[in-house]
Amino acid sequence: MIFAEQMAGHYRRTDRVFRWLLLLQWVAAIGIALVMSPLAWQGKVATVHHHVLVALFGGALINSLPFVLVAVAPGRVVTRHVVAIAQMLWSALIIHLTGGRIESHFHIFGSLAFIAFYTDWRLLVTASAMVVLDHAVRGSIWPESIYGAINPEWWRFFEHGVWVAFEDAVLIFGCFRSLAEKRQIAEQQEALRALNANIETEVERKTKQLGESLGRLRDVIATTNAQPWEIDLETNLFTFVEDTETAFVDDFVVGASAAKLMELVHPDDRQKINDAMGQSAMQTNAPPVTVDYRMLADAKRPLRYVRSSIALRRSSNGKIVLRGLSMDVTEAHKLEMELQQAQKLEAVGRLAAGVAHEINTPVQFISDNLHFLRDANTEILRLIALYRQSCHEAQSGVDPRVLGDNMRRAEQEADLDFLTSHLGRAIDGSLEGIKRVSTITRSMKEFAHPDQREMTSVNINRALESTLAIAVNEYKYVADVQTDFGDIPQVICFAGELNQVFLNLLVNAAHAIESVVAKTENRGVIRVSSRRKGSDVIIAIGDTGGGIPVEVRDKIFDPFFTTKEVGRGTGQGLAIARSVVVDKHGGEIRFESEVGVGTTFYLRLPIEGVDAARQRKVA
Amino acid sequence: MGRNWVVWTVVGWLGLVGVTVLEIWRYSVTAAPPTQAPSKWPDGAAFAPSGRAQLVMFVHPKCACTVASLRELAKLQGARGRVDAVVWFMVPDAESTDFARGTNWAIASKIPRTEVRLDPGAAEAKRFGASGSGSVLFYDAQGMLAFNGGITPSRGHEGDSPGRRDLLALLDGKEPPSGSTPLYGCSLSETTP
Repeated sequence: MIFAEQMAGHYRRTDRVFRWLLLLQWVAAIGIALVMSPLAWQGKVATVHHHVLVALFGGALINSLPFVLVAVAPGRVVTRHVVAIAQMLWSALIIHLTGGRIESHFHIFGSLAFIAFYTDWRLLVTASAMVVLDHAVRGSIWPESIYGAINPEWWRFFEHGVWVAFEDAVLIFGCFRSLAEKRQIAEQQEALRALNANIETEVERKTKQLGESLGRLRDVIATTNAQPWEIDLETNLFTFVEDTETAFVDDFVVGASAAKLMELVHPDDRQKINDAMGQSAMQTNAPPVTVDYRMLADAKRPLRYVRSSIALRRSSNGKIVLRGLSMDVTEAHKLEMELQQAQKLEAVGRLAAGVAHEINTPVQFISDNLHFLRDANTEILRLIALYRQSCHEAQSGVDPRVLGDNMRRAEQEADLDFLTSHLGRAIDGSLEGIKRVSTITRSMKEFAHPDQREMTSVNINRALESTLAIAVNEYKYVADVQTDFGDIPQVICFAGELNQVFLNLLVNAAHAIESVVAKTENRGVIRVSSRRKGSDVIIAIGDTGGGIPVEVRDKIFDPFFTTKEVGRGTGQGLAIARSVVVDKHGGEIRFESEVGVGTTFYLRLPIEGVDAARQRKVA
Repeated sequence: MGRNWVVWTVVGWLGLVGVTVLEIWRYSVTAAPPTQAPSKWPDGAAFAPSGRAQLVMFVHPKCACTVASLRELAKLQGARGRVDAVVWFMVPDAESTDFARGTNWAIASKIPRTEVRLDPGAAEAKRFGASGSGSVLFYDAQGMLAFNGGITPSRGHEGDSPGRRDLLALLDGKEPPSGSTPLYGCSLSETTP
């Protein structure tokens, strides 16, 4: 296709060149005639020589059809064949006008070479046919004008033909070579054009894809108010900041100093960010590291909670950069806190009935015992009064045997033996009841720590005991508890939140056992243990429930995931447990489970607190 | 229909070209009126015969076609000149001798053994009966006319011609095949076509 287009253009251009060439020859012919034979004479009378008229009008005739065809049909086959014929006619005319000079015959061979410019070998055939025709016709009627001899030898025709054929052969060979090269170039251009078209199509498609991806990203960013950014590690300046409508910090622009913006972060969280950056900088193309921190309040905004994902990457120009996505999660954080509180309240609410029952039981028998003691006290006081009266009567001379019988009857009426045997028990029971109530209320008090903003040093074993105490109603009907508390130091932590975690795990264990032993006489076992391992404390809470099915094991820590029926769980317990243990305490929570056997959860808590744990990790 | 128009147009054009070629050919081979030369060296000629063969050519100084005749004469004479030759350049009445100077004069002047003379009023041309430019007369040593005519194949064309062959034969001491040949050249007088 390109080859055909190119050849069509080539023919058109060559036609136009020949138009000028034919015109030039016309002018030259007139000039030759005017120079060599301008006038014909009769004595001293001169007239325009025939040659001048032939050059003028004959030349015009020769050029007439080629000029018309080049104007109206450039590039057509007939046009260039007519041009070829015209060119050879010019050879004949110029030879005639110059009186048959040998030098003028070079015009024939030159004309053939000019015609070869078309690279159409057929034109050479046409031109040569003109030469042959001229030789044949004029050679027969006017041989002197062709051969310069009156009776030329018969082979003179072939001699002339051979020279023409020789040049034709060379020119035709040249035409084929030239065409082959043009065709090859055209094919290469065709391939290049196709490749370019493919590339353009691919670029267009990729650009469109990129535009769509970018559009989606921008929409996501606009929807989520997330702000992507990039820091050049050499200059510590922001080299990219997505321009969003709601920036959660001023001066968050390209060229801003990362160190300057760090000053806007809560002092307690700056090390966290540095640690996260350090962690992500350990390996290019490692998964992003997520860090939560607070931005200080300013004139426009209150304290904000921000979550950033940070990753070390190599930019397109080979530089190592830190790329991240930051989101204002203040609302989410608030909701999370409310959710935790709600979950705590839910737990408390759920346990309230149990706790109330636990308190009510001892209170009930304390009340019963006090009633008994009151009644016993009344009888005993009555008997004491009777003894006093008997003493007086004995001193007054009343028969002691009568007094003794009266006392014995009174004692039998009061059932003194029963009273004396049960008084102690009633007092002990009451004291025990009070102790139980005291334990429960103390456990409740210890459990329901107000939300702490600071970590404190906590006796984990006591915390476990307290939690076991308040959750007793959840498990006492279905399981027995076995504890194995090791000699562990106090742990720097958020006590209230950890208690919540212990409670969630214990309640889950109780529910797991209940699902196995329900409607049977069997009971399960809940094992709670603690031990020290290096700089950590390991707490294990295990049950003999049904175990966790394999297919859900990677989902149990997902928020809102639960296998319990509606009303028995919200799916927040383990999600909060992971958040508290891992995110807030820098610890670890994992489990071992076997279907049909049971599950044990292991919590690892750094003894010195989350900051020490993170420093160890970075080191 | 369009294709037919093109074909007929090309054919018509070639036809017109052919007609033009025929016209050119006709003009080229249309001879001037033959010279009515005296069979014997005429009396009163500008010079008497020398007792040797003598070639006389009559030329219009400005006739373009006569260039070919003069070049043919030069070929005949060769490097040293083979025959005594004189070329008469006619000068019309009331024209100066400058009329005779030009290309033809320059060519003729260089031909070996050839004298170039002026012929005012074409008197010598009339004496010898020459009417066309390029007319050649060959008189033998006895003063008898052996050849009369032109020595070019057509107007203004050099090359082999019956005239050339006749003269070559005469110069070789043989009989000329033709004796009289067509002449292609301008008229020496206004009255002769």
